[in-house]
This record gives sequence, structure tokens and C-alpha cells, in this order.
Amino acid sequence: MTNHDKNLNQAFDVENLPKDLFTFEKATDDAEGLTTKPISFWQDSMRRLFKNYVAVVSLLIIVVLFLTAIIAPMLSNYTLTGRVNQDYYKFAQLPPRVPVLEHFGLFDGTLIKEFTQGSLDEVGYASDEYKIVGTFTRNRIEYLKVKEYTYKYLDIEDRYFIFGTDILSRDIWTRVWYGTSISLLIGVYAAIIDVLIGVIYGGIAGYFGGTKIDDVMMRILEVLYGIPSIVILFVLFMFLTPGIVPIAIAIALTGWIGVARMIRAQFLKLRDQEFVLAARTLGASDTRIIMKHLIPNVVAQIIVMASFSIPSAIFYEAFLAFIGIGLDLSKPSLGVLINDAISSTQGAMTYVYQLVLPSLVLSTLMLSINLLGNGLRDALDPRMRNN
Amino acid sequence: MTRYIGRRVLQMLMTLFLIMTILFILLKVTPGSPFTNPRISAETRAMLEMKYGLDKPILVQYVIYLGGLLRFDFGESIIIIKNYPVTKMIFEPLAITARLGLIALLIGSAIGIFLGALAALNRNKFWDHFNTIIAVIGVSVPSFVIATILLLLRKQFPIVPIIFNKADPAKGISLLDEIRSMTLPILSLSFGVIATISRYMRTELVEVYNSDFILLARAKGLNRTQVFTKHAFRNALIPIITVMGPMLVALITGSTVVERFFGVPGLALLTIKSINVKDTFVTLGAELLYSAMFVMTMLFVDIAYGFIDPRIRLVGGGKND
Repeated sequence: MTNHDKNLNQAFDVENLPKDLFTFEKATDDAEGLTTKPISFWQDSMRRLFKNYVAVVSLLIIVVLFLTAIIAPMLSNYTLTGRVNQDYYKFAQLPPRVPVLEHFGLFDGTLIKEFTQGSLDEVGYASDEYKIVGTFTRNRIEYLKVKEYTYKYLDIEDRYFIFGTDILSRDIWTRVWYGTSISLLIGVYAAIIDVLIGVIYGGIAGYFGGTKIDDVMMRILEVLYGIPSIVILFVLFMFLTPGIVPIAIAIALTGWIGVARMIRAQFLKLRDQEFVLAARTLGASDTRIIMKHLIPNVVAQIIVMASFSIPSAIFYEAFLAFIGIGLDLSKPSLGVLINDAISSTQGAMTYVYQLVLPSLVLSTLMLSINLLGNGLRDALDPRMRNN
Repeated sequence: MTRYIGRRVLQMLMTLFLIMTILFILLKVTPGSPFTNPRISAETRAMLEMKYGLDKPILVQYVIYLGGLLRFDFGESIIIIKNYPVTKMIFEPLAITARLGLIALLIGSAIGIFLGALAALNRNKFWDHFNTIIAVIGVSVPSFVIATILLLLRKQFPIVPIIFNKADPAKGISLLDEIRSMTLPILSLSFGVIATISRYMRTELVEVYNSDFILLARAKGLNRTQVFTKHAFRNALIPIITVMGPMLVALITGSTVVERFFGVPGLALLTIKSINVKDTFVTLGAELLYSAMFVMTMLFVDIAYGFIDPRIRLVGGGKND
């Protein structure tokens, strides 16, 4: 020990320095001697994100879908479960019809039906209510492919059902957008629960990495990871009461493990870096190090993980609905609607719009969230690219 | 290496044991018994429960089940087929599911490897973008939507049957009929495989092409075809083979949709059925089987990685980080 150190030690009791001698100081720009304004990490990331036109388009699509999901059911004249008209036999299974587009042959309120010559005569179309578009033979019987101008045939030419109506004469437009909002809600809930549990669990394990706590926590995780998610879902579905939150929790229970493992790995890596050592040397508590130094360094990865969590939760929910575990019919998600359409149309080509439209919305939603997630990953953490 | 494998196997058995215990407790505490049925009177129910030992405390039932497991006895089905051993009951559906999964894996991987290689060799050209689109659709379009599209396509071209036919000479269903009826389920299963494998293949091949030994091979004067077949392709294939194992398990555990859609009498349908009628031992057996396949595959992958990359052995398991 040099003389100088000895003097210092006499002046201060190094072991027990009073806390009020220290304050946290903010780093300022002029302290660094920079001449231009520095760009923060987030500004830089956002700049990268907005250069990626696929991500921007996806973001736009998500915003449009999101807003439509909120606004469309509100503006609609029809309700989720109510029939569009008292005369529900007449108003069942109407094809989609959209005001302007109908003149271009799209969504023009027509159905392609199959008739034999005899059954066609029985229906008794007026001459402007149908058009024969083709013939084919099946089992040696000649069939006609007939384009039916359904709205004209039923004398309801003043009505427009944008996505048509289903077998119970409910408005599909209203139902699809209502379903979209429910699917989105489940996705967001599940992602939040996922990330919350994952960050807390993985954070604790990672911060205390190498100790007994970490060991026990990882063993538990390994056991849970060893259970296929299908088994977890099967087991949960014995306990579940159908509802948005229970379903979201069930989905999150299979999803948080990935987040926890990622966060733990990141924490293990970051924990041993110099800036954490510096913070600890300056007397920062564990909580402060975790909250102020470690978490901000993994926020980017958390966002990326969450953005992939949402579509996979929506996917899982649709899957659950398909195998019959999902929500009840009073709160139909897109998955429930698709499942409904599959069973009510029995795969009949004529009414395939009932199946295609919700599927299309679901696929577009998942596609754009996935693409935005890709964009976010590239923008926030370029090192993760191509993984 | 032997010690490492031994430790991992022990760990795996522990994991399976814990899973079994958790599942057992969960299944036992769920409300309702197989005999919860308005047509069964309380006395009959009590008698039936006594007969199958369901009236004993959970701990005793657990010990009995555990004893059975040691003799490879997974209990008996109570409802679906009365007094039929679960082991036999599960075997046939598993064989069907596994066969579908394996064929889908092989076909999907072949197409996926081809598409991925095509994309890597034509970077930023048509095939590359095509590959990206396939991959994105693969993760974005739910499997039942793909199954529906296939179903609609087949309505236009009725070449193959929709519903799965089990080969059964007694009913006049030949093996060829079964193979034909497997087409649609296999196609819908293999789509996900194509999407994943082609993505992997592209990434791996691009990485291999950036490495020094390819440069060396080119410098030696080998032509492009030789470099591709002798050096690049083989090296890119190694990681693909390691993902194929888990993928097969994913196909087997994830075939629920396809099984329901095309009426394939597979393991997932059996599981759902057993849950619905509360045939506990069938549920337990099927879920244990799922878990065992999953855990064992992860073990094999880890060991395979250990052989390929000796660094993992020293740290003791790449799974922890």
C-alpha cells in the first residue's frame, strides 16, 4: 500500500462510506464532446425499420385490420348473433355483394350452383336471374354449372351484405371483424402473459446463474419443456371454462418457456460485462442493476419475442377452436368462425366464401404480424438476422 | 462421452417420471369420473369405481400405476374398449400417425432441400423470393386452412379419396386404397416441413458458401457442380438432419388437425376421445407416449450435437443456454 492510499484510508472509512456522498449522475452529450446530435438506439432502430418496406406495409395492414376490427362492428346494422331479417330462410347463405365492386364482376352477389337440366327447370328462374356458365359430367349424369344472381332472384336487390350471410342468416362482415378483435385480444393477452412470466423467471435464473437457485429453476424448466405443448393443452382443456382470458393463459403457459430461456441466456451474458461490474462497484443494488442495466438491454429481444408470440397465440387459439376446445359461440374468434364454416358448408364449393373470407383475414393478420416481427428483429437486433 | 450420455439418460428418466407424476395428479383431480353419467345410478357407480380401484386414495392408485409401469403395463381402458390394455390400444393409432408423419417428413424434406438449395444458388432472384414466400406462408397460414384448400382443390380434381381408409382385406380395402387415401393428409402435413426445411437449407447453404473451404475448393480448380455436390451440399445437410428428428416428433404430436380433418384414426383423435369420456389411463398413456417421444428426441439431438461439436460435451449439455 502506498502512502497515498494510506492517507485516503485515514480520511475516509472506505468500508462504511455514507450513502449521501454519492448521487447518480446522468451522462450528458457535451460531456462526450460530440459535435452532432447523437441518435438514440430507438431512433436508429426505427429508422432501420421504416427503410424496410415489407415491414412498413405489414404495419399499415395491421393498423387497417385493427381499426376495421374496432369500427366495423360498431357501424354495422347487424349484430353478432342476430339474424339479418325476420325472413331468415330467404336471407340465409347470401353471397357477398359490395356496392361499387359488383359492376366489375367481383362480389357481385352471385352463386355458382350445380343443376341437372330437370332440377334447373324446377327452380323456375326468370331469364335474367341465371346464366349457364358450363357443363360437366359426373357419374354419367350431365350437370349444368349455373351462375345464380341470388339477390335478383330473391328480390332483395336493394340490400348489400359485404361478406354475405351464413347458414343462420347472420351477417358475416360483422362476425368476421368481431372475431378479428377477439383473436387479436387473445394474441395480445397471451403475449403479455408470456413475456411477463418469461422475463421474471428467466431474469431471476439468469441473474443468479450458476448458483443453486438457477440450477433448480432450470431443472423445473427442463421438465416443463419436456412436456409437449399438445399435452399441456389437452390437460388444460379439462379444467378450462371457455373464455378469452382462460384461453390466453392456456396458450401462454406453453409459450413462456422460450422467453424465459432466451432472457436467462441474455442475462448470463450481460451479467458478466464491465458495465454491470461498474454499477455494482458503485454500490448499485441487485434490483437496480436488473431494472436499470439488464432489462433495458434485452427490451429489443423482448419486443421481438412478443411480436412473434402474438401470431402464434392467434394460431393456437384457432387450432384449439378447430379441435373443439376453443371459445364458446357467444364470443367467436376467427378460428371459431372458420371451424363453424367448415362444418356448416361441408366443403361445398357454392358457399365457400363463408370459409374463405375469415381464413383470408386470419392469414393476412398472421402474415403481416410475422413480417412485422421479422422487420422488428432486423431493425432492433441486426445480429439476429437469418436465425 | 459415455458419462455424458449416461447423465443425460438419467436426467431424461427423471424428467419423464416427473411428467408422469404431474399428469397423474392433474388427471385425478379433474372433476368427474368415467362413470359420471345420468344413466348410471350412484350405487352402480360406486361398485364400478371399486372394481377399477378408483375409490382408493390417489396415492395408492399412483403406487399401483407406478408398479404397472415398471412391468410396462399402462393400465386398462375402461370406456373406449372395456378392459383392453392401453399398450395395445395405443399401438395401432401410433403406427398410423407415425407412418403419416414419416412419409410427410421424407417428402417434405426432399422438396424443402431442393427448394432451399435452389434459393441459395439463386440469391435475390425469383427462386429465393419464392422460397421466402413459401416460408412465410408456412408460418402464417394455419394448417386447417391449408387442409381446406387441399380439400377444395380435390373437389375440382377428384383423383384421391378424402377420408382415410385403413387397409383391410376383409372389407375389400387394399393397401393401394390406403396409400391413395393418405395423399391429402400427407400433403397437408408436409407443407410445414417444406417451409421450415427450405428456410434452413437456404441459410445453411449460404453460410457454407461463405466459408473458406469452398474458396479453397474453387481455387483448386473444381467446377461449380463439383463444389456443390462434393463440398457445399454435404456440409449444409448436417444441420438439416439434426432438425429432422424433432420435426418428426412435431409432426406426430401436431397431427391433430389433419387427423380430425381427414378422419385418420390416429393417436391425437384417440387422446381427444379419451379425454372426452374420461378414460383416464388411455389419456395418461397417450400423453406419456407424446412426452417420451419428445424428451427422447431432444436427448438424441443433444447427443448427436455432442458428436458433431465436441465443445458441447465439455460444458455438459447445450440445452441450458
